Amino acid sequence: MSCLILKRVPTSDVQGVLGKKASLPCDIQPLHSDDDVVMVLWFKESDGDQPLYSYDIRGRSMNQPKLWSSPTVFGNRAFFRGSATPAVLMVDNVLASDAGVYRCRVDFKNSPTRNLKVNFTVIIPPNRPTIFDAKRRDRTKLVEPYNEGSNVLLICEVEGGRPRPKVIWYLENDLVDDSYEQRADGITVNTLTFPNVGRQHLNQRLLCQASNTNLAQPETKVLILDINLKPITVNILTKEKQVSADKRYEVECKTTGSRPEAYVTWWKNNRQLKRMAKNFSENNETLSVLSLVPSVEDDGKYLTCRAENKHIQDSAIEDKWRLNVHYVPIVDLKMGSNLNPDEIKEGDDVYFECTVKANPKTHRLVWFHGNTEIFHNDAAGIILSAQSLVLQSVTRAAAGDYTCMAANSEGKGTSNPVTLLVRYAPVCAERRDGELFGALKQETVSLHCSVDANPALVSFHWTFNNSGEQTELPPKLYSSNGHTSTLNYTPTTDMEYGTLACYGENAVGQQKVPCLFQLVAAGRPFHLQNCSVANQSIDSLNVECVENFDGGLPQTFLMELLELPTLTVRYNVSTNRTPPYFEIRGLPPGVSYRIDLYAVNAKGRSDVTTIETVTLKGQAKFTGEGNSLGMSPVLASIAAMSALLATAVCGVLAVLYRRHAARHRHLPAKHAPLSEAMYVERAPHCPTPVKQEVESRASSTEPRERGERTARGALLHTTDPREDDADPDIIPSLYERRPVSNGYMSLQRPPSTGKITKLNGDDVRSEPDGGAYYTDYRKKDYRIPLTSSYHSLGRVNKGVNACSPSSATGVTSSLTAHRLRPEVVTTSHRVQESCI
Amino acid sequence: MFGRVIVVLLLLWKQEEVNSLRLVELRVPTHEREGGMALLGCQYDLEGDTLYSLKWYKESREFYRFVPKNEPPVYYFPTPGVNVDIARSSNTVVALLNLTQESAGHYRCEVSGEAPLFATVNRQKYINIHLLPRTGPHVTGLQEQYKIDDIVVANCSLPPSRPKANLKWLINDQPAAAEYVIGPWYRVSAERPDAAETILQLSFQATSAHFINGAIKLKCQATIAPLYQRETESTHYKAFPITATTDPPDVNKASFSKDYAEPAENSLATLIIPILYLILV
Repeated sequence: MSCLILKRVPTSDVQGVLGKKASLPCDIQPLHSDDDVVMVLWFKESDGDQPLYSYDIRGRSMNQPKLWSSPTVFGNRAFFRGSATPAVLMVDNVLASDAGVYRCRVDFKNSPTRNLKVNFTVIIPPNRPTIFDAKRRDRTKLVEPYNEGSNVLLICEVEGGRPRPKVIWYLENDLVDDSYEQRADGITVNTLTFPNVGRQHLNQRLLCQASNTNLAQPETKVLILDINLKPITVNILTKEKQVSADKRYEVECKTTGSRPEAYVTWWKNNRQLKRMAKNFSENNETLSVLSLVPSVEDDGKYLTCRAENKHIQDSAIEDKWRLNVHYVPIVDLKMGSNLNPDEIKEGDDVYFECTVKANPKTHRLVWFHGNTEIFHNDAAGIILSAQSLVLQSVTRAAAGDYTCMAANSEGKGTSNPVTLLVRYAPVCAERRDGELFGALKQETVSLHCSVDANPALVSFHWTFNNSGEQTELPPKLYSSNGHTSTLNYTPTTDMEYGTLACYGENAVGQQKVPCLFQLVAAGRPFHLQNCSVANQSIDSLNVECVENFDGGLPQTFLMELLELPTLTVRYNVSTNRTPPYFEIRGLPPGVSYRIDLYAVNAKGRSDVTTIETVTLKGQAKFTGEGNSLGMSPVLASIAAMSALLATAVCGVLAVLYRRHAARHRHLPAKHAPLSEAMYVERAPHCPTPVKQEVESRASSTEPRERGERTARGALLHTTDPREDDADPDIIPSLYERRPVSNGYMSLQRPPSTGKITKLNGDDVRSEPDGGAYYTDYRKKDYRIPLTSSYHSLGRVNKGVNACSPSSATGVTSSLTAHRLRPEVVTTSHRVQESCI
Repeated sequence: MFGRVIVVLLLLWKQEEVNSLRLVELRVPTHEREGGMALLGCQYDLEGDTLYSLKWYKESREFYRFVPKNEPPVYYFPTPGVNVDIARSSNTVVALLNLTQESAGHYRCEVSGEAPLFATVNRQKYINIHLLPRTGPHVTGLQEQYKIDDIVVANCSLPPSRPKANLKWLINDQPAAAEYVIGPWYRVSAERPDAAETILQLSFQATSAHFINGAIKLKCQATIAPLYQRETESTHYKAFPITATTDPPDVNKASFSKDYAEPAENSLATLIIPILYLILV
């Protein structure tokens, strides 16, 4: 019946949303202006005919209507706004049960009642969408970014809703998928496939929207796209053109674009460098700082900075830097490969190859032999080429360590040393051959022949030569050990004094030039040299000299002070010290002296060396001869006694020592050839030995000498040297123990010409026959290069010994021989040592 | 004692529940003839409520209201087809005059009580308005006598009506067999396009079985329920073949028609028709 009632009644369709407000329209506008509304009643069909709301303005103004709402229907949820156009029944908080057909009845004063129908439907909004992924996990609760380039599959499910909702996907504000399916279980589904998600989608909002009305906000669920991004750029910022080896560099590499931050690794060629970099990240940039100490081997290698997103496979990108490592040249020296380094002998050609590894390149090699740079010298057979050194026809001087050196901006590199061993036949180790040895008859001297040889295994033989006849010495006289051979030689006759030659022989060959030893009969020592007043005060005087050849016997030194002008010997000082050093104190002031100096050995006193006038400062004190004479014997006797004592003691010790010690003498003979030449030259002039007795000026010395001689004679069965000067006593020689002292290295300047003149002219003691030679020799000798050094143990010969006893012709005098030598200071410690 | 209290309370509650406006009866005719009048009665019980309004609608249009608080309480809205006789209308009855085709429709009575509930009841009924034929059915083509094996043919037509009338042939008061009847045909009237003349033909070969007591009784009956039914009847005797065709045809001699001009009241009509029939027969 209700249906019939509402037949032909104007109907409007109105929607309301559950829980929201709804407006049910009802036009209460009168058709005529003179008419008025008096009553509005609202009915709902399902509730029968009872009104649910009334709006009563009978006898009232429209502003003060009498309102009533059925508590069983809308209650206080409804309010009729009669002033609105059209008037509406406002309903709050719409319930699902509010749906239905409503009728409003408008009673007018003068016109027919108006009945209007409102078909009110209540929209039940859908539930909030849920976004699932392919594994049916709620994606909005999942922290799992997508990888760049991957496909996104999302399922949006919406439960409920009346009518069934549209479920639509939006990316930001753009519709991307509106195909949804209404499933029978009341769930509406839209499955979104979003391929190849990219960087541009980062943090974009994917929104699933469910809506079944325009009256209410759609239900939405938002998924913010979190995307793992690949790095876009990677750059090594500090690609220096070159780096130096072993220096520390901070290499920076910057990468951008990765999200989350890039994983930066460093590689040298294909090897990863671990724990050497520090990474700093900011925004989507990562800076990696590598602490790199390039090594030489790194030159040419590639340093790679690799950035990747660990979450995305194959996302790594790289930047490479070819390392140009500069380093100090690495120099390697090798001897020529076809050479057998152990088989190089003198005369062979040798070459070295120098390999240089360097960056930057070097252009020149410098070669060193030991510490001396080698220069190209065709004449000397030294040929330098780009990488090699050729030594033509090497001598043993070429032996030693060779290095090559190359330099570049990084520094100098020196190669390993390569030792060149040159095999050569023995040569004398020290050019002391031709050295003078004094020996008494029956005295055995040990001659040490030391040779240089390579290989060092040397066999020796000795020869003896006098007056041109050379005899081979029996092997029993010498013993050889390696490159040394020791000859124990005992001259028994005059004929057995002469030149002893030592020949070594090794695998390379026989020694060409033998080591020579001159054995002479023992004689007087040579005169002292270079004597000078070292220190002088009012009452004291110090004099120092340089000793000379000791004549083959131990020597002591004597100083005599002769008061001027009487030439009375006032004082006598002797010393064993070497070099000689005399000290005298307590001298009366103001007195002048002449100083005479001698070397003394068992054969006698040397020539005198005189310091002409020495005047002590202070008031001149005249002392009578008697006085001085009275003084003199006391002093002289004291000096003589002490000298005698010392000599005796030394002599005893020397004898004792000689019995136990082997003889060693290493004496240089640098000027052997020269002396030989001179020897030859002088030979015709050498007269027959002339005995020249030098008178002892100081009578006080004689007892001393005699005493000494006596002591010796007792001990050594010697004859008085004065009786037979040409037949020297056999006195044990201690020379062999004499070490090579520094003195032998220093050439003594010869005395000034004036002094020599004085010596020769004014001094009776100068040898008339040897003086010219002496002078000449000195002059010549002076011209000998300073570097030459030799050791003379010459003995002063007074004519008797001028020619070697072993010399058959007698042309060669020992005096001549020794005078041909440069004047040499013998700094022997013999006395001290023997005294010890 | 206790039970009695409950009963009283129940009664009181029932009283309260019932104490709302109630529409007792809506007395509206379902059919009325064109040109006639109708009384629409709406009987309600206020049940203690106060009447706010009584409204009559034809379809959705209000044409009459009775609002006691208004002065005058009765208000009439001129409506096509609805001619209210105000003098004969009241708070329960509305009299309609000069019914026309436009008068047909739903008539609804809506009664509302006073504030605050404005309890409202309504009920409606449909009134059909019929155009009845000016005369009864008219039969043509019949002979006075028929012999056996004669073909009996007759047309029955009724003047225009609306709705269309229902014509029916009866032989010896029995509905004619369907194969004897042809039609009906309808012919739209020129002057009333909404009405149509109705024609129904009867045709059959007479057999001895048709003759009862030597005669065939034929009747055409026209019905427009529930307001109208009329019929035209004729009796035809059997003619003998000896005196074959000596009798002149006397068509109307034995035939007459009855007109039922009585309108409306069904109950009256159903009572009167048999009586008249008896009297006439």
